[in-house]
Amino acid sequence: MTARTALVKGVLRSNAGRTRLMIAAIAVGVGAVGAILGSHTVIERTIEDSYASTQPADATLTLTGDAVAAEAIARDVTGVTQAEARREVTVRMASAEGWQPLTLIAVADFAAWDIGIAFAESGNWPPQDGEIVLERASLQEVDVAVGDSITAQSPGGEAELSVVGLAHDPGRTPAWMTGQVIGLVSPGTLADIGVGGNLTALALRTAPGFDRDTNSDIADATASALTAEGFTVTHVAVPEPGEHPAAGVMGTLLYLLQAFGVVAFVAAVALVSTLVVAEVKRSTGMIAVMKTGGATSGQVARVYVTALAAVATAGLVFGIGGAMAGTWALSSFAFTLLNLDATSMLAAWWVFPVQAAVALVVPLAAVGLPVRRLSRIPVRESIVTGSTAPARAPRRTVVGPRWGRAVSMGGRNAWRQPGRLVLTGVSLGVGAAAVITALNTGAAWDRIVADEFRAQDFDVQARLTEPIPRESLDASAAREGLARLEYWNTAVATVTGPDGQVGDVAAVLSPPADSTSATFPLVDGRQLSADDDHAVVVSQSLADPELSVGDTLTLEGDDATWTVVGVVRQLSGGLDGTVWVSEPLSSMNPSSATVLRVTGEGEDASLAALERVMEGSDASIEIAGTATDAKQSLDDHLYIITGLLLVMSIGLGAVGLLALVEAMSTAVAERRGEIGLMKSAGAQSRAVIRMVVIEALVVVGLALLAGVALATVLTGVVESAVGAIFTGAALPYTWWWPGVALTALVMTAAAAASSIVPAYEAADMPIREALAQA
Amino acid sequence: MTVTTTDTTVVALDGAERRYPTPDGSLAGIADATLTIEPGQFVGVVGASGSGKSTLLNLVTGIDRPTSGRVSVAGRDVTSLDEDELARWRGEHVGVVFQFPQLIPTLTVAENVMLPMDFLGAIPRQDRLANARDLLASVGLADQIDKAPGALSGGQQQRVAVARALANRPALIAADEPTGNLDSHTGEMILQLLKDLTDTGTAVLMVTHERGLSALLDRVVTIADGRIASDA
Ligand SMILES: Nc1ncnc2c1ncn2[C@@H]1O[C@H](COP(=O)(O)OP(=O)(O)O)[C@@H](O)[C@H]1O
Ligand SMILES: [Mg+2]
Repeated sequence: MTARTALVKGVLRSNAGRTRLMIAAIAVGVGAVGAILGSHTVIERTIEDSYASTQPADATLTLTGDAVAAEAIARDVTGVTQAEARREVTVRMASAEGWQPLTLIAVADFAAWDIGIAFAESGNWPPQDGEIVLERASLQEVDVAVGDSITAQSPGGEAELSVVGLAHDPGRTPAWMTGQVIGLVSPGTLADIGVGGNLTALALRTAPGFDRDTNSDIADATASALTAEGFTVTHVAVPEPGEHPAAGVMGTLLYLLQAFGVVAFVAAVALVSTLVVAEVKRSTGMIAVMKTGGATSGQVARVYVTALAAVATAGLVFGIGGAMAGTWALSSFAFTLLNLDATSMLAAWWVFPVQAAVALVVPLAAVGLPVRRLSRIPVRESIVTGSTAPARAPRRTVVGPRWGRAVSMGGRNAWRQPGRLVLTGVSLGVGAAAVITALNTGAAWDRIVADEFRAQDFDVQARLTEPIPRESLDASAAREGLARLEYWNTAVATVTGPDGQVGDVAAVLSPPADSTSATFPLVDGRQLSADDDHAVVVSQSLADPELSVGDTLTLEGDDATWTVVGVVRQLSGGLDGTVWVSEPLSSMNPSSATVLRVTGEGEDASLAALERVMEGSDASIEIAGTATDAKQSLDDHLYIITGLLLVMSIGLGAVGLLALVEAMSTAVAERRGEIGLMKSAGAQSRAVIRMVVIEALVVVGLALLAGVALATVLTGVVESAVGAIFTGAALPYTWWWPGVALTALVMTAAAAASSIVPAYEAADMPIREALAQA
Repeated sequence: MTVTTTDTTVVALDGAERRYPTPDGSLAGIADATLTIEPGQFVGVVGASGSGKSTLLNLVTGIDRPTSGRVSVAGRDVTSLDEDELARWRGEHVGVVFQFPQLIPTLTVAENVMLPMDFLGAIPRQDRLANARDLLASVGLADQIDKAPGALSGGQQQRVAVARALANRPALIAADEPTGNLDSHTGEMILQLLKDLTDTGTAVLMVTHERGLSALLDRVVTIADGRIASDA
């Protein structure tokens, strides 16, 4: 081993704790970047592959009549490579929670199923008449197991189905997002339930590589061909080819992760730079010895660069390990959300060289300049050469026991190394910003959920199988102890915006005039009023970004043009949002109702009372749910997202605190001579300790200011992203001040704790020793 | 005074001057220093504290630069070299010993001695350890080579510093009060060591406070108020 290698080793070993900290920081940075890039590639690949594996339909035509007879005609159309009859219909099932929507999918022959397929996973396959195979993600929504039986009911009938197996359909929006239980049944079973045994949809596959427009043309040509043969085509749907329906949600989640990855990496680089620069500064004496021994600046710099490269390599090794674990964890999380199975958890190959580049190049680039500068300090300025040069005079200080003195000295000391102050402040500030943002986002979510339920006052909502006359149930409801019963009309309608484009599918709600559950928080415009004529208030997810106050729209099932007068924040509603109408659609009967909202003596009592009330009516309950159920599912989202954010941000906060500990011990080490002077001038240990602790507090105070400033931006970004993922619109910009106070408290305590050890060391140092090191 | 130099002259100062501004407006440092040193000479520099001894020595070792005049060591005009050239030149031609040993605590004794060899790279890699061992043997530390500097006494550490200064077989050893921090017995050992060196042709320029070294020294340069007062 050459002496120079020994020197590098010495640099690394002389403070093993610091070396380990640097390795950890680089590992965290590399791990964060690697985990995010890695999971990005794994998730993207898996979404694409598993969606493709279902051989999704390139277009779906809804017909009246039997689509099996249409298959042959469609296959003759140019561009169509495969056509298959199917049916997708929503009925309801009885569950412990009440009635729940049940989407049934049927094809003529599951054994020959070719378009938009699901995969048998356990139990029997395919389902025979009277049997159902559930999509596996549905089990999160309903408490049913293979071997149980369920009751499926439609307005036309009811059947007992035995659950014989589970299937996996990776091409669908998972059940937790839609609240729908999904099952596969034979056409015969559909007939038993009373919705008829005909398969009324025709799924088409076109040649691979066709875009949406081409598929649209082919679908239209197929529709014409079918019309010519006497079929009636009622609806044509053409999805974006190759795009999983939940890809958008996942994209936003990944974007959020990326933001955190970048922030984590910046914090790690800031920490490493602080450490390296501090180390080089601390060893100016050694550098002078090296130079006296004939070392050039380049040779000196190389010692530190080699040491850093060794640290970076170790960090890279741990970082890649961490990245693989992180990739696995994030991808698993995403796959659970999306109901997908991973084919491989290995990141794309290029992620590894990127990590290597990030570990080796970025820290070197960050410290390159300061190391170069420091390695050029002339010998005379960095060593005790025997010259009686007057020492650079320490500031005149009169050291008294009072806090005032300690505060002003500690404060001034913090500013003495502006570079270090900035780097420590950035590491710590980034951590603080992340924690504050996570807490703010949790509070924003809490707030909209609270608003949502403050806006609605009911125990149970029930959708009926058929309309009932308004007021028809008032008497029996009062008898059963229901204090309030509202009659609503609802519909699901396609909303056509001002540009004439058919767009979102929304829940259209027509509440009674005196409803206690129809006033959601206003974002823009105004609420509906009694004298409105064809006015609507839309939910934010629908408004964003196409619709705004003053625009007009038309609704499926009504010929009128409606004017948007307000936008409200509302989470519950249809697939794409909600439209509140000033009067019922022409397709609705204003004197009857399809939805009931009841309030009584608690949710369970109200549900039971409603069931008894409905026994005396011609209609029955299609779906019923309590307000708490709805809240629960919104809260579940909150825990997922806030938990994820908090874990990431606490990691960042820890990096920041490590930076502070290191900065404080460096600051004390640098100032030994001065501390010796203070003590020889009569300062007591207490005064020294106070001074150091206050310096740490000043750093924390500045970092906290920087953190709050950064959090104002970060909170906006994260709250928008989280809102977009889970509600379709940005969350209201929310600050949770108790969270800021909590963060400040934790940081202050940590600052005091981190500075107390170096402060005691400094205070206990004998004067002679302290001065010798000056 | 004129300077006469030969091809082998180790140190030649010609009107070298290094001034430091002082708060009261007067000038400190050294002025008009003219001086030559030949191989094998043991030259002492004496004078009151603050008279400019260290400044003179730092000019010779290139640690400091003259504000005017010429400094030439081992045939090179030091003033024409930049920091890196100066470092290499120093590594090759000048060994420096300070009042404190200034050993690197994370390196062993042998590694401290090998460090200048590594930087210069003139001695083949495989010979460096043997060279360091020989040098340490010559200062009486053959059995300490693998120890950490901290495990050695002050005098032993200073002997390591001398061995390190000799690493690349320089033509000149410049020592600034090398015995100033040692007891008299240990100090004598160091002085004898330097004396022995001059017998092998190495020139030694040493700042000292000690009196009565005339037996040991070939010449004594006396500095007073920043000027060479005598040179005999
Ligand atoms: N870097 C410097 N800046 C200012 N003055 C200096 C510097 N180095 C030395 N001096 C001054 O120059 C004078 C000579 O110093 P020095 O050569 O170290 O003296 P000696 O070594 O003889 O004690 C002293 O007055 C000293 O204060
Ligand atoms: Mg001196």
